[in-house]
Amino acid sequence: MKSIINFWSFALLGVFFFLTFHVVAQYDVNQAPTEWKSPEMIVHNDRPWNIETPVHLLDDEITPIEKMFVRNNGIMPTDLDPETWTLTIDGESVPNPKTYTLNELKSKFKHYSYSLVLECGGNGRGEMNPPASGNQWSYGAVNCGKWTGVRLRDILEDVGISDDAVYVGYYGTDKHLSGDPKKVVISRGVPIEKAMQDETLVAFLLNGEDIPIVHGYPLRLVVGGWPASASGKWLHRLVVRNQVHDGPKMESPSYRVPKYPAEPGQKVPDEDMMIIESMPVKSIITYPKTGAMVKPGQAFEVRGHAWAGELEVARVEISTDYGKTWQEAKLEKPANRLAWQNFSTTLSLDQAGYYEVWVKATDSEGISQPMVVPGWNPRGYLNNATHRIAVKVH
Amino acid sequence: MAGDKHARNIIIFMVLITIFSGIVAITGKEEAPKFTSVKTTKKENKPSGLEADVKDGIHIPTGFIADANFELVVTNCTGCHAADLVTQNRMTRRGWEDIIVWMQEKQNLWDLGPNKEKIVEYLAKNYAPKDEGRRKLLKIEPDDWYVLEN
Repeated sequence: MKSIINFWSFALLGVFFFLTFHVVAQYDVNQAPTEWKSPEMIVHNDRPWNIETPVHLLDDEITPIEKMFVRNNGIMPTDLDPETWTLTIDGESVPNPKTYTLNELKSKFKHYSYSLVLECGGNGRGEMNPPASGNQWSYGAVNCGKWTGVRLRDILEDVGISDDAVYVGYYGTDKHLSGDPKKVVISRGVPIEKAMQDETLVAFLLNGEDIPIVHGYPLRLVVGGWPASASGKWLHRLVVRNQVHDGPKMESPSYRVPKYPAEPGQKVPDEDMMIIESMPVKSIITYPKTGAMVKPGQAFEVRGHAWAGELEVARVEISTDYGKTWQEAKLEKPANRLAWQNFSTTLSLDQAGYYEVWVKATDSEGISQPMVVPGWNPRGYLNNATHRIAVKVH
Repeated sequence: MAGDKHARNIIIFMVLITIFSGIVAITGKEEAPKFTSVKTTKKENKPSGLEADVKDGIHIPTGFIADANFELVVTNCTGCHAADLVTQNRMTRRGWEDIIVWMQEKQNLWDLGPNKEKIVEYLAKNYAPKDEGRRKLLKIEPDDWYVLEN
């Protein structure tokens, strides 16, 4: 009896410890995200924080927060009091600027929840040849979280915007790496049409919890299907512009690609670069983890997710012979528009040897993923080449 | 009876620990070094004696290759960002020049004066691109192969 009580007491103690520490860590401005992120995460950079998720950790339909990648451009803010936090809407196309407190936003507007794919525009940069500068992401700068908030459209309609509105830009409160307090780290945004979509949220919850600091606490603009840099963290101001927003990292070469097919390594003039909008069709194998060994004829499941920016994925295919033949996987519908879609199939390989399992998705307009790294561009964006895992049969 | 008392003591202990860790978490904010500068204070803010930290040709605190002029790179490049942002990249001479100019134009990097040439030289030599083709081979370390059970 005593030993049972002892066991459960210590088990409970462990859970208490974990929960206390875990929850505190996510909202403690002094805690490194690595303190509470999955220990398998890959840190590309700790100043600013850039952390990648190994692909096999992305198996869940809704990505758990501790398995979400981090792409920060500056130093995270430390002054994040939800009681005094405000969101101001102004800009050329706002005749009467308005400021809301966090509580006003939450109480005045209807809440919506959507599963939304956020993928770094530079996801896959590590395969660019010649190499492109920046964090050398492999395949794991993507996730699909469940965001809860109010529709940006509802806010803009409440504020009242003029007919000449073209773009919505965000401002956060992060600090520039150089320490210059007047310098804005990043201020990007989206065209007004994207801002007015049902799924474009000003969010305050992620997977049902307060958004952790590293992901934008207490308020984040969330724009699914576009480069995740369009989803501004620590959101405290939105500008409705009568021109394309021109905040830092809207300008070339940031988050832009050549308007025409460029030769690898080519110098592309700024004026020949265009802003990345919808992300391209892509898919990842989240199970099994690469490096699996199976027996000849052993049936094993292959599964993962596929997404296609603004579009839906129409088909997912798997190849075990370097793309010579493809077998179609079972593909589920997305939880909502702009969510990723689960796919799965069963494989069985008879002959002993080394195999690569490749996955290829095709979007609703018939566009597929390339099998080699596509469209070289100076900053290494939009690599949506087929994801591959290694499997040995013996 | 002894078991009950024991259990009560443990629960009291747990509650105390929880409160204590909560207090530590809250009050710790003031004293704890900002995580953004942990690495800086620990590793990179050492203007003198950089050579002392070199082992097997690598400057251990930053990971930079300890070739000629690496001290200039440590001093000028890690003031704002982690060394990883440099060492994970591979670029041609022109690529490194372009990124330095971009940092000067957009990101508050200071005028490097005559050191610019030395820094570009160091980066272009030690962090030059390798031709990896259209797709790299999948790399699985021998120990990372695992048996997949159904």
